[in-house]
Amino acid sequence: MDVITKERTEPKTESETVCLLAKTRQAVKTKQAVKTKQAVKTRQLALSLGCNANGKTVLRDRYMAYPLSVSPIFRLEADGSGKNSALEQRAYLYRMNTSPGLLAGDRLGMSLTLHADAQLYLADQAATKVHTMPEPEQAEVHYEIKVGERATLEFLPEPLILFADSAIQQISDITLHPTAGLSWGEIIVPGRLARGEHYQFHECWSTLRIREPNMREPANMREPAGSVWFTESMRLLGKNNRFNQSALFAERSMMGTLVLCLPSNLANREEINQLSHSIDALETETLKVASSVLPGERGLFIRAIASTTRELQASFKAAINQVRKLRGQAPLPYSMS
Amino acid sequence: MNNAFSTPSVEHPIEQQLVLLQLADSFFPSGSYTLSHGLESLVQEGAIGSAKDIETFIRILLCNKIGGTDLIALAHAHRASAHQDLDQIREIDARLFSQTPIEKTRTAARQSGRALLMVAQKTWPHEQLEQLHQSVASGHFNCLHPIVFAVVAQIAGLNESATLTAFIHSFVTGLLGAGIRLGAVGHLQAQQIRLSLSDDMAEICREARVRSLDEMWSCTPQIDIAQMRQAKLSRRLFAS
Repeated sequence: MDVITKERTEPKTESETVCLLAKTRQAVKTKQAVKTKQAVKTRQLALSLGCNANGKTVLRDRYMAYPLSVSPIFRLEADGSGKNSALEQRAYLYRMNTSPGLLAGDRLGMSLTLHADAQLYLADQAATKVHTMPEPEQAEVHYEIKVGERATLEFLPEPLILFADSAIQQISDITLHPTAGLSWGEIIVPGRLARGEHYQFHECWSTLRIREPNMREPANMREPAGSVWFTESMRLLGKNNRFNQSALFAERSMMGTLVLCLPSNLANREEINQLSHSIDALETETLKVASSVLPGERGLFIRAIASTTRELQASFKAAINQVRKLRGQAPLPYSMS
Repeated sequence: MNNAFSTPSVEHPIEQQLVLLQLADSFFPSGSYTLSHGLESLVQEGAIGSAKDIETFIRILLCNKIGGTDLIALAHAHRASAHQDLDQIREIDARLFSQTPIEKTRTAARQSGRALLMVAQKTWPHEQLEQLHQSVASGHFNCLHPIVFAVVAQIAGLNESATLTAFIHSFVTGLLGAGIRLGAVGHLQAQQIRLSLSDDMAEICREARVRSLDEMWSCTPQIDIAQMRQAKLSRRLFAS
């Protein structure tokens, strides 16, 4: 009986194999499409920030639902002389998650709009734990970000820790005005390393897409957004990763990616090369870091691997400080650098 | 005799195999022999010192980058070419370009794509190639190597499966050639490595045919860093 079943189901030719694979993929895609559609509808945090009459970045709209919320706005203090009022313009916000982390079937959505000239540094309170879940369940996170004219967003989330048997899909869609600035980072920890859990998760698939805004007046509400000019889609496999013990895959456990987009008035080859050299110089014995110019010479794409998350975070914050220096802005506050 | 603006029909297996061999041969002047995909950088810093390392390096590249991006784009470009859909070919090219984060890799793919297009226009004259050439001149086509390879192979009469096979064979032998020139592997070992990679080469070709463009992915952190550093090496043999 077993033999007959095998004969019926096992493909005999290459075209049959491809056909079978296609059917399997289609079934998975349909399931994912349904999930993604649901994820788009789910949004626990929606923020809109713009500038007030004094040029300070303030909240215009805020929607918060369990488990996400944000702190009140923090600012750097000027010295009262009136010369450093630019320091006070940037808003510093902490995103807070009151749940223990991401669980099976969780679908978190966050939207953020920065209107013209707004400046925001967004940070997390703690690392995000992606908990153990039964296969084929996964957690999903979707970011929808819009950064308007001359606005600046800096977002360095705390690390994503992938527990054994966890799976997560993260999609970050960013619409970035050419005159805007962006620093967007991500750090992945492949397990609870201190207890010997290493690459025991199922999968972490993180996609970052950056597109131009549609500059034309929209003819109707269905007008498509501008074209995508940068995509980074990293699919990190855990248990089924054949290469996780190889130094040629990653010689250290912690992985980080940072994208630095400069406003169009600064995005030229000379400034980018200077920034690239200063970032490459951050390398230490236990931190490997390198940078490359983004498509359209919009900034830098940075990849780093290290032994500890602290090293990665410190190097990414140093890189943001280099951008701020280039733009004649104050460095990150001490507690954040 | 081929009409200059029609697709030649290669219906016979032997003729198709001859086209495959011609396109996959390192003798074919597409410029890809100047690429090491970060191998030179890793050899210089001592991270690769044996034939086993070379095999692992190529296997990671195949399974975690080329199979998940270039081959998927190539399969879709082949279908678009077969449907005479030049807009779709340009769209796939733009998507692959945006999803190639390392500048040197983008530049090298453009240069070898343009070299391939130039050679193909002389060898297999066809309207699609003419129009793509004009799109390059007007800045509407990046001319990435996998995309041009797909169009050229389709025009020359290769089916999708054979096109993927030719591309991946050419890629692997090109990298092994780079390993030999860098002194990291011998000729005999290179042949053994090539054979041992066959299963993975076949698997990623099969997988690429059923993936959508939205499913393109990669994950090669250490090699990404090596590819970024390649451009900054003070002495180097290879462009990437």
